[in-house]
Amino acid sequence: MADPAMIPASTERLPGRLLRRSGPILISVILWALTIDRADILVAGIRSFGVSMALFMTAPAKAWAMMSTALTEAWIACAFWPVILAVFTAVAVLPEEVRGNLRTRIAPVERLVTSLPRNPRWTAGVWLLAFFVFVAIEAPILVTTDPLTQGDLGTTRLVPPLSATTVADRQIPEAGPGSSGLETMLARDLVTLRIRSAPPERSGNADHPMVFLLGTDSVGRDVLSRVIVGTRVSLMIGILATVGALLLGSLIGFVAGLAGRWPDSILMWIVDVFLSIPSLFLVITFAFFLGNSVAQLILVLVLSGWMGVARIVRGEVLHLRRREFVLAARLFGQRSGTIIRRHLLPNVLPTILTAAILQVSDTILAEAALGFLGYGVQPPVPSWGNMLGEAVAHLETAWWLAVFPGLCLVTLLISLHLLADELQQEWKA
Amino acid sequence: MTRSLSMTILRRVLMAVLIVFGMASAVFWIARLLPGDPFAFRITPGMSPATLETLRHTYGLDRPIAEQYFTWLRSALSGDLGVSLTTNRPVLDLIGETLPNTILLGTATLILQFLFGITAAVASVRHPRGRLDRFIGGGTVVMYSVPNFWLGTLLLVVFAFHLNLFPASQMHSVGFRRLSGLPATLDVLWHLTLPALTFAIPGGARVARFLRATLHDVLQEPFILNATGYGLSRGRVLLRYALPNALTPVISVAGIETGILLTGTLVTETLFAWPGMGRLTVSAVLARDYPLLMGTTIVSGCIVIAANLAADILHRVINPRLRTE
Amino acid sequence: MLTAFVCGAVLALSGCGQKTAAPPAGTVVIGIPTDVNAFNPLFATDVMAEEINELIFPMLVNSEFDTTTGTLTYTPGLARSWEWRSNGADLVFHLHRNACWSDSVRISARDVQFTFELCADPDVESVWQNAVEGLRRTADGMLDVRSAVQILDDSTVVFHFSKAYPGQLFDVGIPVIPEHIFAAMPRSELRSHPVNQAPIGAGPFRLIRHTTMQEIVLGPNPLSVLPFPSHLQRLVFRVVPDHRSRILQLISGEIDMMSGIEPDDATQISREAPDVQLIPTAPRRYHFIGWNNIDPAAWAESHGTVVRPHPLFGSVRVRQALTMAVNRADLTRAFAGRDGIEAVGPVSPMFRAAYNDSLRPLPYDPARAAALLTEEGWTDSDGDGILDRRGVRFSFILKVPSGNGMWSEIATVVQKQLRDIHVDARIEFVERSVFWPDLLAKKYDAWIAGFEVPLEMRLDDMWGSDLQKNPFNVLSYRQPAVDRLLKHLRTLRTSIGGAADIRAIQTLIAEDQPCTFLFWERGMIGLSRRVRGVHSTVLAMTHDAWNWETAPASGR
Repeated sequence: MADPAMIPASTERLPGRLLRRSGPILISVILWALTIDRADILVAGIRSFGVSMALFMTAPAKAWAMMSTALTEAWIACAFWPVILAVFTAVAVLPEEVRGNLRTRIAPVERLVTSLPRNPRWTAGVWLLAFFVFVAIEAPILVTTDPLTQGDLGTTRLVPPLSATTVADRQIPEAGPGSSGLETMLARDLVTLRIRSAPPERSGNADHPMVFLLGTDSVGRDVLSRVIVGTRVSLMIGILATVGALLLGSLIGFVAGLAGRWPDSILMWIVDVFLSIPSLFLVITFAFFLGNSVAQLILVLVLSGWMGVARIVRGEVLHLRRREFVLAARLFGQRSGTIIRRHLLPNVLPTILTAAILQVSDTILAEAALGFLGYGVQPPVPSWGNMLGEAVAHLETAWWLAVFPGLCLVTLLISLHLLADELQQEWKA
Repeated sequence: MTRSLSMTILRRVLMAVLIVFGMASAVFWIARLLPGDPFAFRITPGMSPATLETLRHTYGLDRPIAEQYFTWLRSALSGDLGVSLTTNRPVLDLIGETLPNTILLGTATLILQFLFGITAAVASVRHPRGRLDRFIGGGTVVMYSVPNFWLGTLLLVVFAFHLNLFPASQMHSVGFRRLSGLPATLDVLWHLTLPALTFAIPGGARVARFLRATLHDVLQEPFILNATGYGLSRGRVLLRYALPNALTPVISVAGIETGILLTGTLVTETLFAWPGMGRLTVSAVLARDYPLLMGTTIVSGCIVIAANLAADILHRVINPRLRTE
Repeated sequence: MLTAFVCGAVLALSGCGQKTAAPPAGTVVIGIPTDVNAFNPLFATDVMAEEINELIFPMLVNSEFDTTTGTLTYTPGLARSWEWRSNGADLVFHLHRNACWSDSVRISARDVQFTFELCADPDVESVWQNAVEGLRRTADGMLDVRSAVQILDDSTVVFHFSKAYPGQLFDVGIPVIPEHIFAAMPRSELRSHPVNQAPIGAGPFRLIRHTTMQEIVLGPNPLSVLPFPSHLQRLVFRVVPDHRSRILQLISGEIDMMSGIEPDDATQISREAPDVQLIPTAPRRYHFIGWNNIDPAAWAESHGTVVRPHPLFGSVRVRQALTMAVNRADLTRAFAGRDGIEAVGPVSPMFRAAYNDSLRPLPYDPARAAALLTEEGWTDSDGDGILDRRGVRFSFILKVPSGNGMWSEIATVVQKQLRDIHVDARIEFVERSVFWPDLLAKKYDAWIAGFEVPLEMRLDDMWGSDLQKNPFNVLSYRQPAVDRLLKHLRTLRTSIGGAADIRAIQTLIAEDQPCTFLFWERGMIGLSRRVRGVHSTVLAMTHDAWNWETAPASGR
């Protein structure tokens, strides 16, 4: 006979567990739905990788000609997709014991999880950031239509969100027959990846109704797809420019802090001068001289963003230099290189990391402001910034142009700020 | 005032002057090296190309940049900022007309921002980790994450375009000249609301966050615990003892905020067509009006540096521990 | 608590403000996008500054645009009457005898002569330098204004031209400035003199106040007899840089008038503000995609002496193909609305007689465009999706002046449509202070821009083959047949006889497609019904502003 106390407990456990798992379950359901919907793209992506590799063996020159950044991006997206799908499905489906087991088995994961702050703010920040990174990586699979496709201006210009409009079938690029079977196959896959569906047997010119989830912009492009691709562009610029600014700023900060005296004064004078020039003016100037491809834009943001980091690092180095353990190390006759590596760097690192997160947010903001003013990423490549800039002309009539990229921008900044806050408090304690 | 304090202040002032000089020089060179022609807007078929050459000669733009730099430096040192190339009016006149408007907007913003910030911080430390604290904590993160150009745009569209509650541009109504006293003040305040809020919302959130942290620390100090021990109410302790102590570091934040604010006026003044120096600067950059651009950047640079200096000095005077560094 | 107080105050403010909005009787408020600084016609560089100066300063003759014939006519201004002598080469003006400046000094023939002296003086650097171009020169080719503009007596002045030409009255019809104010000043300092902020005029209005970046207030000039002091007590030009804000203020009644209303705005205005009437303006502005017909590199290297066809756009058939690849009808519908007119050439449809209405735009036909390019030898031989010929890719930079939403949208559409025929256009935005000088220096390959045409047709400026003499021929278009017609036009004494020539020029330009003409834009003027007596707005918004009155205050 069973213990009466056990019965309510076991019945309670099931909904409780379900509730705790509802997140992963929901996510994996959505992921599976997307997988089924975008199956042809996934297949084309994976197959095109195989075909290209085969083509590289047989005809390298032909293969090179067909390569493009868009293709590599699609491959990366297709490579990560099954991994993400598998992880979430596992978390949702596997019994709790197995999961716990797995986690403790993989030691680095366990260490990482326990060392990080655990509270709702941190969790929210991590999940939001993870979401944006996911969107950025998987952009080629997630977009609903090609973000550059324009419809007939008469019917597709400034269509509000969620309303249907008829779209004339655009010219389908022909997948011309290649000289070999492999080439034909690859060309066909490339078309699939570009127009987001398998090319039809024959191109017709029939009108078909279409619903744009987030509406269309002033030349009839799908806002949702542009926001998704914009995530990728904005995040990439933000992260790469931050890495650059961190390197440059830390270097200068370290030099100033360690050298002291007049090099310090001069370097800090330069920092102060740069900081007192209106930042917008500085960025615009650099943008002029360096041009505005994505790579050049990153350089611009590095050059105009290193000063804050330099100041923080210098302050920290000055502070640490007087601390007992550094003085002790010096007394014991350690070389300054060793002191920097052993004592200064590890202690400055948390500060730099926090500064880095805030720097990412500043950089993304600067990119957005530049795009807003028309100096940002050049069209037709979408970024949140230039989408916001394009929205200005239609502020009152087409609110969706400004609201959606803006909301994404704000959400990403919120997640970064939450992370920075929590890290700061964690390290302070 | 001790001798060491005045020495520190003197050193600071000297440094500030050096920074202003460095900034002005940097802006001069940057502006001249940028492509663009200040007389581009004057090119019409009614003008012979030779006229443009004479114009450039008149304003000395055909001479080597280094020479122009020293000429400019000499006259700037004697207090002459030259004549604007686009409006043909003395730069000092233009700045004199627009700077008060920027100061008005800036002061209003700072007041609003600190009002928001202090209220929010005090409310949230009354019951640390309570529901209100968490709510305000979340709210401030959201608010200071909003870029001000986007916030300004939203305020403009919602409150001016759709609800028609506030004016979308300028600082006076058409009939402003016929008003006086209270109605005139209200008219200006009415125009001031949206541009000031655009900046005060994220700024207030920054102040709130900072002040909450310092208040939290101050509340742990022995003298506060003492005061609580004497049976004073928590609200009284907070307002009478903790807040004044926590405000000291906020002073230096005010200095930094002034800097952020002045850069921000470039955006808000353009967005709301506020007739201030920020808008003047933007138009000077776009038109390559070199003398005007130099004038406005120097003036705003001086204000920022002076504000930081004042905050720094005030901070040192109030807080004796910092006097000997 | 404090926050609650502030919120309360904000709410209270939002309620109290609107009472002050509507302008009082006798006042008309016009919304303008940028501030005006030069209250001196010699230095007025933009249209709005010109308009305001023409209200303050006296004009020898007033012009009027006759919309039925599409020509300019002239009515008396400072000159009571005028007559032609010596077969049209001399023009005699009889001035008003009792006209005086707003400081009570009488206007004399000397003021007219002096104005033209200043226009011609290079030290003054005025914007009217071409006004004296047609005047008679001395034997050594120099211009002596004192002999070319001759004072017969205190109120009679005669202009000696080198020969008769159609635009004589147009050229001398500029605002006159007072000699007694400016005579003593050094000529090179006129530009920045404080008197330009407190002008002495003789027109129906005088400047009451100018607040930088805010407003310009005009009031009646009580001494004016040209034609009389304005009926309006106040004419206010309010600076509202943002287009949307201006529209909203027009709807809410804060401003009474504005120009540049676009089709999208028109629907909103007629729905929300029945008190505002919309007056279409003449199609004066056309937009186009410019193709540099000559090689910019060779031009720059040789300092403007070597003229070689552009490697991409030098061929007529290539330009025709590019035009056919762009869906101009669609662009016209989307950006110029129902009133927009697809453009076929540089002559506005408003010039009824001269406009060639038999010309049809090239069809939108990407397939034929692609075929034309293939015939010209452009094929995608390396399979990268972009056409190429002998190792040169069909790839270029399309420059777009920044800050104009419409141009950047057109550029995006054009980029996409060209990409469909495998032509690669990369868009670059350029600030206007960079764009215009570089355009005149012929540095760009392709660009998008718009031109506003003057009311006195000047085709030589943009379409004459002599690139040194016509710097405004930014396309570097060279066509001997057009030159012959232009030369013939210059010999004519009146504009009416030249209509056939101008039609022929349009046909030639349409065949050559030196640029891709997009459309003529017909802006609209929004005008509150409380303003009465507005009759003519073709030339300028405030063309007859001294006649205006406001309706007696209604209950609003």
